[in-house]
Amino acid sequence: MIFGNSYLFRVPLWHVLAVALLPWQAFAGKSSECVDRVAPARGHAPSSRVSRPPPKLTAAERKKIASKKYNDLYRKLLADSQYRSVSAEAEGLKAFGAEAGVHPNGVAGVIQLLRNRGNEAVARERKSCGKSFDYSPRLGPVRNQDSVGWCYAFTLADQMSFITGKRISGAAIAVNYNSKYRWIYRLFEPYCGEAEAGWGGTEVEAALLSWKSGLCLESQFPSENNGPGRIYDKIVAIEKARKSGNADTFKACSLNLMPSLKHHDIMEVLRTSSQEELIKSLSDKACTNRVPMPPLKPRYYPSELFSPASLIQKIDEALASGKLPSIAYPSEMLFNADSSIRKSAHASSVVGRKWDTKKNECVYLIRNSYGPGCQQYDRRHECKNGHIWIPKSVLVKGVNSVTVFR
Amino acid sequence: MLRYFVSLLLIALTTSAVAEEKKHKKCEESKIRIETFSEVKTIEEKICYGEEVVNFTSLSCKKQKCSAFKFPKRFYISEFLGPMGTPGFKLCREVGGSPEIVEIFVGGLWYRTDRCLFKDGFVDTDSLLDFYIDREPQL
Repeated sequence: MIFGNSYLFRVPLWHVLAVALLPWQAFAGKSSECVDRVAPARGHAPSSRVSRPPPKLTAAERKKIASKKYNDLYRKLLADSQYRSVSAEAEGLKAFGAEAGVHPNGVAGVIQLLRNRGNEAVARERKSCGKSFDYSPRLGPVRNQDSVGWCYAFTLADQMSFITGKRISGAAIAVNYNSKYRWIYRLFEPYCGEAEAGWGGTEVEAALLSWKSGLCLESQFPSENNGPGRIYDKIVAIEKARKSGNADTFKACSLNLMPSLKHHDIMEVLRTSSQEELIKSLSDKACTNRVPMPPLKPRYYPSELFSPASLIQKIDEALASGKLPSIAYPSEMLFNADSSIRKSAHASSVVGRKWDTKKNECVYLIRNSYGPGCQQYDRRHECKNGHIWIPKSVLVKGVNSVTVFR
Repeated sequence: MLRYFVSLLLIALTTSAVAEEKKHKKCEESKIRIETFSEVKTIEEKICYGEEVVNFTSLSCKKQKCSAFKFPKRFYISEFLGPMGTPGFKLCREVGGSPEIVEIFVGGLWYRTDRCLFKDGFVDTDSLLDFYIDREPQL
């Protein structure tokens, strides 16, 4: 296992001096929002932004801001230069450095260092990322989790579909998982959010629970329910019908949620099932042709025990051996590669890897569960049908855990 | 000087119009399949789509003139990331629409996607996000 980053200990002395010469008090200030959050006027392009007029600053304030920008950029490039060339962006240090009062020779030295590191990284990465993988055609269209927080179940369903060759229901996995508790409360208790502790652990737990029951086919319990009644609306409607004793509504809603249910099965569930086990009981009746869980063990690699570089290595190893790894990560990085916000806990499978000749960097294919659109994501990420190619330098900053079935 | 300014303005307007046209260039009669509580219904309606079929609008929303594009506020994406569901569905509700998963029939194929439905039209949630979202300030 690798802890920490050995590159940080190879920085030359003059480079450290160039950074140390910066006025450090500049970093005490809080960054301010630079855009007004006002919708564009009708007919404007969506990308148009309304900016506030820049405030008048004193020379000292300008120096502070430039110092902060210099430092932020330097840190970002230092991290990124482990995986890609940063030559073009490093030139940006010149302007910030000049305004921050850093000696030009120091800045030039820093730029040279970053350039060398980046070039070495490109040579190394190109070699290690030489073999491309793209398993997405084997999985069909991406899923859409609409209003539920079942990213872990959808991800597990993709992994199981990949292994078994059958389209596995993510909803059935989630219902099975939720049945462990009073499921209706569990349904609204998010895994895919900051409220739940233990990133990525739930996917493993869901897999272990599925071991006993087996896997349900998507055709018997569809994961994406359509129309104005989204999946949890339908589940809540079933609950209400059960409580009120309205058999017709109960039957109609149950059939709508799980089309393969038989009339007598629904009535039996209505008669015999407890409130807590209601959906689970329906799911058990609907999923008649269950697929046995493959005899594979989930291996869970959390960032608490593995360095980011080791986690990426686990992804590489899994892809190279024909396995589909899944990751827990903050979904902010899909929308803005530079975002410093890492709040949301999301899960997706990694279904490919290639060398991006334009970016000159290794990129990984994330199969998201937000539907097939690509406009919403950071335009710098290549995206097709809801699959997003994320650069290694971005992924390494966000990956919280990796799960592989071996 | 004035001629120069007017020329520049014209070029800018034309470029913007061409870009917009490119985004939702084709409008044609299509089928939309929606599942409700009691039935799967298929409606026929004109939809407009661009390079990607899944980025589509109703004819009324083609030039961003329907109520889908009139909400007087922009958002940061982080406001919609967690804890439940997709950011597109959340944004749709926030701006007064009703999200739903649909299938649209274009060029002999069914595409499974979603839309945000308003009283005077609809747009897919992906395009809606693109319209309303400010990315977090970049470095």
